Amino acid sequence: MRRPLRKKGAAGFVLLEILVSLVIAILIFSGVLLSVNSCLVFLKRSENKSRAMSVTVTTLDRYLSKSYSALVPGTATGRETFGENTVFNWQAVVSEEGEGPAATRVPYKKIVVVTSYTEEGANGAIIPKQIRLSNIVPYPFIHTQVLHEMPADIVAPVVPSGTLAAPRYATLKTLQVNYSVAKDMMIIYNVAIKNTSVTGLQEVDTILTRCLLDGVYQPIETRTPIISQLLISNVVGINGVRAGPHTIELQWFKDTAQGRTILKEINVIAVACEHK
Amino acid sequence: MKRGKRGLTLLELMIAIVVMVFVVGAVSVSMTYVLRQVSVLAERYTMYTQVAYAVDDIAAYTHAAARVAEGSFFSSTGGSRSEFSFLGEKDIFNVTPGNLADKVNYQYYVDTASRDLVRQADTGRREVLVEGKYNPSVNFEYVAGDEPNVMVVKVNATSSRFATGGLARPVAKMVAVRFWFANIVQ
Repeated sequence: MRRPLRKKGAAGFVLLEILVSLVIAILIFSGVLLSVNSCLVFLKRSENKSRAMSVTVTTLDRYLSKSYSALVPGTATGRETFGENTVFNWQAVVSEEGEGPAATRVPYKKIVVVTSYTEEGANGAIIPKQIRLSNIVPYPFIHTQVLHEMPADIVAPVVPSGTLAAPRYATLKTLQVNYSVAKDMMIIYNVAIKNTSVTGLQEVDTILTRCLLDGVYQPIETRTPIISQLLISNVVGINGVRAGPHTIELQWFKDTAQGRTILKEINVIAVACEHK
Repeated sequence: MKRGKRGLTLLELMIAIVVMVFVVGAVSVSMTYVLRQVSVLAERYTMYTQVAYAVDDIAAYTHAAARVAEGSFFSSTGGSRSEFSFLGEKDIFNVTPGNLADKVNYQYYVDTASRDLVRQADTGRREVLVEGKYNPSVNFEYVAGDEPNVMVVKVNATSSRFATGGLARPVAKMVAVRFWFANIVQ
């Protein structure tokens, strides 16, 4: 006959029941302790990841704020120390990439930021960790390039003379541009002149200016009276300028040998947008 | 135990008491440990909230700054400072760069008396971003070579209590702020 665990009508627990309940209690509290410790480990990993992300995003934002031309391809490194025991080493790589076939390739600059740190694993082993973010800075759709000069009277160029029948255009200013893709261009220039001698000048005497791209005349030229109009302005549009370096050249001459006219101030603005 | 007899023998009772003492002791220590860790975690959560709030506040108010105060400019060779003053929008959700009439002078700094990290406006309005009990620090930095309108802001808070599990005591966050209408380099 089997002995019952508890006698009928008997009060209290037998030793076995107490021991079993104690073992269960120990197991439960061990579980709670393990959970709390797991939470701490998880929190530490989350904090490290959050900090690494903070370092990476900040570094990436610093690079993204730069202009296309200021982003020089290459590698830069740095480190941030958050707290007492974790160092975050970041590396930023800027590279020049392109999209599309070679003939119509549109360039862009790619920024990759990698932040590395180490973490202690469950068995005490050091585990390397990384956060990697990347973004691009697209090639600008619109470019502007400005040249502005106010030469002193002593060095100011003198307008060369010629005749309308036999024009003697001479270079006034040149501006170099370089685009990675084909562009449609607009060249705007303002030329202020000063007559240091008006001896012999007539009201009908004029100054002519024109714009050339890579030595090719781009219409239209300007012709303005020397005495009465001291500011010359012109806008030239050029479609389908191929990719690569180009020279914008401004030329001028006056249609009389009388008087003496010099350059007072000049600005040249080259605006280029993507050719469609 | 003899059949029909109630209760435990002395030996059983003593064993049970010894075991109970060990178990209750272990449970008590465990509970204290668990409650302490929970309390530390709760404190860290509060610290994180305050540090994140401070970083977001600084970014939101400085983005649309109309002018950097004379003493807060950086050199082009880079540098850092622990306070930053500027002329900013009174209402940061209504950005009017051309109108200086609705601007307010702000300053971010750690108050030496209360140790609070605060945003102080010249209207008298003062907002505590991180409480002094967390020993906050703030660092405004310009890195040489960056655009002249980009500043790195780091906010740090340190708990006076240690947490186990290898947690670092400081809670920190950083952000790169890009000014829309002003340069920070003079």
